[in-house]
Amino acid sequence: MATILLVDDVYTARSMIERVLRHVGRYEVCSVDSGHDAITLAERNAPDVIILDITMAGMDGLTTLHELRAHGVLCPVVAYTARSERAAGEFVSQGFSAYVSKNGNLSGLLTTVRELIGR
Amino acid sequence: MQRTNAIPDESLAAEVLPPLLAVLGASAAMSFGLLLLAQWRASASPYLLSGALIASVWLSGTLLQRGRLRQAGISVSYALALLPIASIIPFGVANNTLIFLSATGVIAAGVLVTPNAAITVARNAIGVLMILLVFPGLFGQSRPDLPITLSVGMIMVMLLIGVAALTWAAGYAIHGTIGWALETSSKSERREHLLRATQGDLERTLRERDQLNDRLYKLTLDLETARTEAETAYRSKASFMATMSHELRTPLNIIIGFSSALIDHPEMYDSGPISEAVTADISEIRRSGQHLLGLINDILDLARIEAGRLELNKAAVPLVPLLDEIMRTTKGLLRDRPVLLRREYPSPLPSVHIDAVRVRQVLLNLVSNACKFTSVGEIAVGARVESAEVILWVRDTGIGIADSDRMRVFNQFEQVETDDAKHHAGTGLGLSICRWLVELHGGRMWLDSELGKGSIFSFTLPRVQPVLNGSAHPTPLH
Repeated sequence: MATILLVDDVYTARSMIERVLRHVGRYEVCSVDSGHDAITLAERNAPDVIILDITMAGMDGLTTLHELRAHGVLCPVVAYTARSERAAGEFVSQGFSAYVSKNGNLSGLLTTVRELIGR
Repeated sequence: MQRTNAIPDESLAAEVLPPLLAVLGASAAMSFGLLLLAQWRASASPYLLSGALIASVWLSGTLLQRGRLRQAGISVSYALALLPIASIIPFGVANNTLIFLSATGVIAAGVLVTPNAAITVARNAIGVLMILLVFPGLFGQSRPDLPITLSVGMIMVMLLIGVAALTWAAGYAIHGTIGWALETSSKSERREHLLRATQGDLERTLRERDQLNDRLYKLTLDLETARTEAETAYRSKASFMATMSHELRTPLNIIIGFSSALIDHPEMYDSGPISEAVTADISEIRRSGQHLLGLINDILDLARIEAGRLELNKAAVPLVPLLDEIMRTTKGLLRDRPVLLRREYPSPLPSVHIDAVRVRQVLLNLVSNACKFTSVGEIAVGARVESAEVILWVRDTGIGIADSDRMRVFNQFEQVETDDAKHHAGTGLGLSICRWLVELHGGRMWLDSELGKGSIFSFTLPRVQPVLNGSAHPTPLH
């Protein structure tokens, strides 16, 4: 069973996505609320995909991505954020594997995760 | 002229009179003494003449002391003019050289009184002379020979008239010069006064300029402060908008997310099937949440556009893949409605210089509007190449828009009021933003519509300039 690491500083959002991924996607999910915890957990558990919120208190998504890569975590990382004015391509050019808009459309997130694990 | 002449006369008379009077007084006293000592005669008239001279000197001196210069001058002048003529009485006409001294009286009048006074004194002196010559026996003087009388009379008349005329002319010239000098001096005084006034004005103006400079400096400082404050306010507003948008979207994301989970994945909850009535209500929660999210996004876009902070990431974008994507989305929006989706663009199409995210936003807005208002018929997405631009359009056979409302649809928060429209949720900002975005690209947007028959929303985008010598910009020819 594929493992997914979810990083989001809002508890309710985290619990919602976690449940959808677990019950609908049938993934093993662990979630943390900060970039620091994400790095620690990713190093220990080696998840298949990381879903990373961009706008977070403390370490933001982009910095977390760079730290993850610096710590040798090479799995796909999905930028998951509220509608951004930046183009999806911009996230990809910054090193993210994909970008999913945080608009409540959980099916889109599931589809993207499925594609990344299937690769 | 008269007034200005009076002043030098008086000052001149004041200067000249005292020494003149002293000389006259001295000579009168001397002649009186000589008469007493050496030339004693039986006649009293020489003594009377000397006495009259002394008396006139005394009178003149008294008048001078009282400041009556004119009268003093007249008195001396007449004494000098008439007393030598009166010397005919004691000494006769023949060999009497004293009479020629009367010319001094005429000169004195011209100098001490006025140029005209010389003539008056000469006239009076000639009158007295004539009386003495014509009536020789009047005061008991000796009767001379007629030829002598005639020759002395003629010489005296000529002398007096000549002296009077010359004195008058000289006096006139002197008075003219003095007048001119006085006028010049008063003119220069006036000029100096004017200069002082001008200088005063200038100094006042300089002071005022300094004050204005001070005020300007203060205003500049105030302006600088105001600008800093405005910039701070603007920065805090921009950061407030960014924070608010995140804070608003986070809970909305959860509302929509859980609604979607309940509807799409009820198996998550292990509680058996959810009743249709509940599902319908949850759908309504999701729909309202999505509407609110759209509204927030639109308002943020509009705020950004109006603040001039919406930046376009322009690049050469191939149109066909973009339009194909829009077609797929439209197909998803229509689902199983009896609406035919038409493709009205050729392949290939030239690339356009655009921000793909923003043009996608415009096209999605137009097709979602078309889907909202079209229940039967067709919807078309089209493009046509013109010389410098590409025209894109979204056509539908929906409810259409009346002529009177055609411009209003592009206004903020304007939704055309129809019975049908009330069933369709919308922010009323979408088309306004679309037009802004198209104009930011240098294009324009317009609407052709007929009420009840359908609408065509069209807009233009600039074409990518043809590439010359492998460079994006045409290079000049050398």
